[in-house]
Amino acid sequence: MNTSNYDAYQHWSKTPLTTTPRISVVVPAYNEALRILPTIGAIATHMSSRSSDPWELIVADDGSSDNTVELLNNLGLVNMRVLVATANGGKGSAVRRGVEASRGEYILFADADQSTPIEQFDMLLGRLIDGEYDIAVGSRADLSASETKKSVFRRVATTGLRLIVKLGFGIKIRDTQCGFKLFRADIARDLFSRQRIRGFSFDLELLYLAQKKGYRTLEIPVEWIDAPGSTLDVGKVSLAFLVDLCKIRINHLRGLYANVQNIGAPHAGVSGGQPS
Amino acid sequence: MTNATNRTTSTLKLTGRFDAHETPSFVAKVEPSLANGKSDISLDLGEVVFIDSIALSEMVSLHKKLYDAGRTLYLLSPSDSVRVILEVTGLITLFNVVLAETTPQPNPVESMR
Repeated sequence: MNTSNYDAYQHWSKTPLTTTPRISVVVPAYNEALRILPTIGAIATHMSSRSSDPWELIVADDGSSDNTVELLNNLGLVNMRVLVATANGGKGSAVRRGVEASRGEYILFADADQSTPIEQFDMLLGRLIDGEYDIAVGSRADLSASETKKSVFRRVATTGLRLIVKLGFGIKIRDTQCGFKLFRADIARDLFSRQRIRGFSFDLELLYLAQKKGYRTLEIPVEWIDAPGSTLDVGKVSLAFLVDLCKIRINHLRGLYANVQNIGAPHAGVSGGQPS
Repeated sequence: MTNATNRTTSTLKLTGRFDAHETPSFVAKVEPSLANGKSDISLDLGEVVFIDSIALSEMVSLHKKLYDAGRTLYLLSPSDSVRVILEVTGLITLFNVVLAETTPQPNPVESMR
């Protein structure tokens, strides 16, 4: 393999951007000290190899009690910012802070475990860049998607929840929860400004809002590999998901989604990289 | 001080994603070379696209076992992404990494795969 990708990474890691980034990659992280560094390495290598698009990396800590933040800051990557939270506000809260801090024209939200390989990004961007769509959603629901090493319990729970989402809410996107989504930045800011759900189900709420607002959303099959060491309890998360479904319905009936709001998540500061 | 050129080297070529799902088969494939008590072990990482923490931990464990026995683990021609992952985790200074442009021909090679 050639060394150009490595050289591109070296340049990105040491040379501050002189232009506004075109792509912002937002990675939420809660107690990810054991897993996040390989993910950062993979993302940084691939995204830096795409020389045509200046990019920035934003890791939105979610009040980690381990040394996730310290590990990230020690990397000294000049184009990576770490958003430090003083308390655990939920995954939706972390991604929202990342979106708020981002400067790119397109914003990718990617999980910290590299379950969906970052190389899939190119496919999503290709569908947004021609202006035909506003949101590209990585999906494990399509028959052509590659879903590897997923437990039977998780498969059953996922199938059941997808059915409820489809029948109960009329959401056309079949896989609302895959942690790999690309937004046009203006669309992301509008959706996150209306966001009410701060936890695991925030994606569902965003896609519900996107559908209500008529944003053009495309579901794209992606490769997905179950990453051991997930901090998710499938049973608890499934229950919380059902509760959040009810909350979304109630919020809609109460007209809460018409209100744009500022972010009120716990946010102690930013470290590393360029000033936000 | 050992001289790697005067001993046998077992080479294992890995491809694709090297993660927690792959470590059991990795351990099984390495075990015969580990047990023979003689050879160094080389892992060809030129076609590996990603290594997760569990796999890195397994590689560190293998390195330690070999080191304690006066033997050596070599990481051959890591792909760019693997090279970066080794750098950001700080493990590049622990392992004997042989980059592609300087890859020596192990002599003799006992192919494991």
